[in-house]
Amino acid sequence: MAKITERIKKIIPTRRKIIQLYFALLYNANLKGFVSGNIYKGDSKNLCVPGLNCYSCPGAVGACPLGSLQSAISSDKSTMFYMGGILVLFGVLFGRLICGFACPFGLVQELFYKVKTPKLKKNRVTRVLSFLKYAILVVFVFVIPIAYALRDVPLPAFCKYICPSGTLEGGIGLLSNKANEDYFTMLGPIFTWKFALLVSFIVGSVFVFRLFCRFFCPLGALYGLFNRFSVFGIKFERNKCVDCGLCVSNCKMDVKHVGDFECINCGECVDLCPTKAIKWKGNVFALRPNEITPTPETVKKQNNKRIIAKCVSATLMISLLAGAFLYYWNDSEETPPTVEDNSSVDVEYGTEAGDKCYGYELELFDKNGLTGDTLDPTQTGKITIINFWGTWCTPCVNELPYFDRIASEYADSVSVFAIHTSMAFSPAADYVGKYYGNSNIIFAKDYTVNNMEGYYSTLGGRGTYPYTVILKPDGTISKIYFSALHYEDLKGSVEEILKA
Amino acid sequence: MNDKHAVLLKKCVNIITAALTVAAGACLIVACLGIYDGGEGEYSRAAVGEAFSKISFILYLWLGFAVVGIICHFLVPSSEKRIAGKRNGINKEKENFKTNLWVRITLLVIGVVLVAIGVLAGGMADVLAKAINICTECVGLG
Repeated sequence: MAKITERIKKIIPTRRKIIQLYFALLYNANLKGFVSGNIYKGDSKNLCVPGLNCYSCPGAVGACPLGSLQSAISSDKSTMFYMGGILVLFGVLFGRLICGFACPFGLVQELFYKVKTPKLKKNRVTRVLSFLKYAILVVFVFVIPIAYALRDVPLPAFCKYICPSGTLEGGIGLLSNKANEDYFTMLGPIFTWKFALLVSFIVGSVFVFRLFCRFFCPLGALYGLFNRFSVFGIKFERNKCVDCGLCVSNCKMDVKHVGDFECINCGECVDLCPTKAIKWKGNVFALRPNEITPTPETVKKQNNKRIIAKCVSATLMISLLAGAFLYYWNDSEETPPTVEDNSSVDVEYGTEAGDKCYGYELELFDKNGLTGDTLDPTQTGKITIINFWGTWCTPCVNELPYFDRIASEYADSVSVFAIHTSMAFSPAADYVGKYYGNSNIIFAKDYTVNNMEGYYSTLGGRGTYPYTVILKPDGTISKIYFSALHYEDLKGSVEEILKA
Repeated sequence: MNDKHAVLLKKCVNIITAALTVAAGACLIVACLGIYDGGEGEYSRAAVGEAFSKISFILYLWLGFAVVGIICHFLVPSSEKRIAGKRNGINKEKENFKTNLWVRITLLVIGVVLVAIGVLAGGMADVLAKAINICTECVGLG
């Protein structure tokens, strides 16, 4: 009976696993997103979650700290202040406790590590390799984005070339929904590379404990810098330590001592220490050392308090998670208003090729900002190319020169509208003034409805940028593109309409 | 089956699972490359489905051995060895409680001030703009 009980105890997930699963569910509480295939667009995405969780995951309800940091580097200073402050707060409060308890991708790796195979033990090589993540932090999170930002091209290098969480949660999460079949046409060499990398990390996690966290994760590298000063986490009392080395030798991370940069504060060493030199930090923001030495008289009282505290915290956490599921499930998106041409009641408006395109009087802007004029893209009487873009979007910025070229080569027969998102609009005018001051492109600003880009959503946009709609002179939709375009694609589409 | 055979079986299952893990990973990568190259750089749901059906046997085999390995882990007695205590790179710096306290307070204040400045200056809008649109580069689209 005792053997069976012991074996059952091995099956039951540890408290840390349960907490990891809890946070993975909380970060991705938008269950409706998995059903509909759309990402969440609500206000909670103003806030960053502490762990590595791609904000393009259909279930994600918060922003990714690394993605937001890279985006901030190519935005204005206010975003940098905001992201810097968020990361400092997370670091100083929790350090790498986030890695140990609140990172979904860490959970995925630990689950794959449970597959029974020979395991790679840590050694000097893995210790040296653990510094690779600092190099990745410097090069991919700071240097490359800064270098490109100086040329006004936003490039989240780590997200684009390395991040497995984006591929797994965002890419596979979106593609696995039938509603997103169009996205398959957007897959290319980047997806092939990232998928191969994701598979390598997952396969590697079977043999190496937390392969990505130990050697590649820049977020862990950043939080590790705060480990020593973090308010919560593992505390190591040197005066009680007898240097038996049990903690370090049993730790699966590449620690040199408990609580250093590599320690993920999982707490597995706490029970191992024979002299109880390793404890959890706490006690009112750790403003005083943890000197409590329970006497026999107080043990029972402390146990009772502990049970009550556990019950209360479990109830609160379950309520929070259930509340989050309900809130995000019931949080519906409203359809933005549309403007129709009432001249013909037989005309069918829609967002497919062949439908009449919805019109709207959009505000125009130039290098000096909003001009005060408005224009409806469907009323030009020419072939109209409507391109939705943003200065924060790398492919959008990279394809604008092609639109500029088309606008100048076909000035008599084609109108090109470049409609910038209403959110993060502030750098748009300066950007246009710097690079497209003399362009034939008509720059306009979209309008906002419930955190949605109004005209973009009306024309069938589902969250991917850039998004291009090509209209015939009579205002009917000729073609729709969900991905970045080359000059040849645009020219081919225009020539096709002109010949017809 | 005696204990010796059971332990040997457990080791064999572990090694086979390891080999199948590497093979499954390699098959997934090759399938992805095959879809990309075979379709002139274009993916489609049908192509993905076809590739998956070709390599599904190895994935199911892997799953089977993984499950067997987990079952063996519970049924077969394990020999847990506690590694004898070793001296491993002792940190010679003494933990100064007061220094840590001031560093914590300073960092907390800096963090709060930075967030406040960022929020008041509208920094959250850029974060939201990026987060509510699909980052096509981040997920490998485009």
